[in-house]
Amino acid sequence: MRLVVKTAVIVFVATILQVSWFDGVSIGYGSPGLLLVIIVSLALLRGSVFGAGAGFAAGLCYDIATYGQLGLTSLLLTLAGFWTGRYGETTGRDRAHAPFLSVAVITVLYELGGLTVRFLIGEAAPFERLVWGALPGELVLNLILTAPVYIFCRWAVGKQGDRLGSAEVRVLA
Amino acid sequence: MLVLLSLILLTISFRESSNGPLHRFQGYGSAVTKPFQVVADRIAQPFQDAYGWFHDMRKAKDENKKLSEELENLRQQRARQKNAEVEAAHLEELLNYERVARFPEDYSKVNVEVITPATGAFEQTVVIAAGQNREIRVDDPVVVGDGLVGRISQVGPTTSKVTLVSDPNFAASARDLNTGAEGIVRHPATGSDVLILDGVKKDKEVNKGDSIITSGWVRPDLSSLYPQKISIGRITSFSRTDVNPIYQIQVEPSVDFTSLEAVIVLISKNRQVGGP
Repeated sequence: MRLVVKTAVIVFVATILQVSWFDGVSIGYGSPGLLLVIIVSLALLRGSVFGAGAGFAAGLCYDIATYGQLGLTSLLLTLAGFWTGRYGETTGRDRAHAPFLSVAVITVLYELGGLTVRFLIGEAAPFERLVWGALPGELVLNLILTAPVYIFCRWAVGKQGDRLGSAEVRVLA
Repeated sequence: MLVLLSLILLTISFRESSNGPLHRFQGYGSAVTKPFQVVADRIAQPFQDAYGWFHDMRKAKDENKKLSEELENLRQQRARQKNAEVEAAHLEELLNYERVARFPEDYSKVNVEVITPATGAFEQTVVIAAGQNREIRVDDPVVVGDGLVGRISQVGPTTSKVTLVSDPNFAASARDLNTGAEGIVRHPATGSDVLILDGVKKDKEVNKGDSIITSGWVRPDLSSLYPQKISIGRITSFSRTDVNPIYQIQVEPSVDFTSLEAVIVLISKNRQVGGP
């Protein structure tokens, strides 16, 4: 329960910071995606289901605060949280480069996913503007955010299986 | 399950009207987050000011010289314009001339803070800290001192969404201030920083550097959303080809959409006394 409350607070504060501060900072059209980096970090630390839940809540908060298309960011962040969580639970476990690799890959997929959904619902989806204008800057800024955000998230919510790990050692012994 | 829920939300919010239950929920939700956003803005303000100070200082010297020259030209223009305005007002009175709503005298202004800046490669929108509580409605024009910013596209109890001129979904009827050539200003689909003035026929005259303003037309059953003579930008280039009957005109917006801190929402005075 404490974990859920902590995560809810982190997600809410991150949403406010994203819409108030980070959306105003940009390289080209690309702004740092604090919310995305938080969701990727939480998913890596706590698993796929937790990541998907946090992603859904974060997306909903973001769409509400910015009057975005309700459900769009939720959909993208839910998928981002789930797939990052799966990577963390399988091949990415305990690898130092996992947060950076995940943030880089998810940033690209998140933006392309957003472009696709917008295209499908008939909204403006400028591919060139995204690829040349937004993506490079966003990628750099997100990677800069990755280390501090991941360390903060690890401090705040811990890592799934930390206690299980010691139990496993006892059984083997 | 969550993906399905997201898809359901997306479908409903996409299909329902702007005053449907989900949009209303979004408005109330935005009202809840508004105080937190305002606090975050206040905290960030000193840092933004410090950054702005250094940034502006760097540009100030170059700009000073350019602006001094511009000021002298504008002073002369203003004197001529003032004279013309007085003359036009006098003639209108003599002719008992019926005219459309004018900016700024026929509009009341709501000065409001921007709480969410424009962002992203897709939508160019900002959220402002006033909504139904200040009589703001969908499609109200939004301006700053430099010119047209956009229009209100969604209204909540205490916040509203503004679709900027730089958004791909935005379009406004406009004309060349010097030559009177009319067209539609919109953002090109390619996603560049400039706007285009579309639909200007080749038999009209346009010149590089001409000011583009809102045309504010009125028909018996329909009218432009924007009042006349609000600055939109300046023509930076134009070209024509033999096969195309219209010009390709690029317009540089007069407003810097990346640094909007406050805007003015224009509310028609006619509407306040029971008009549409």
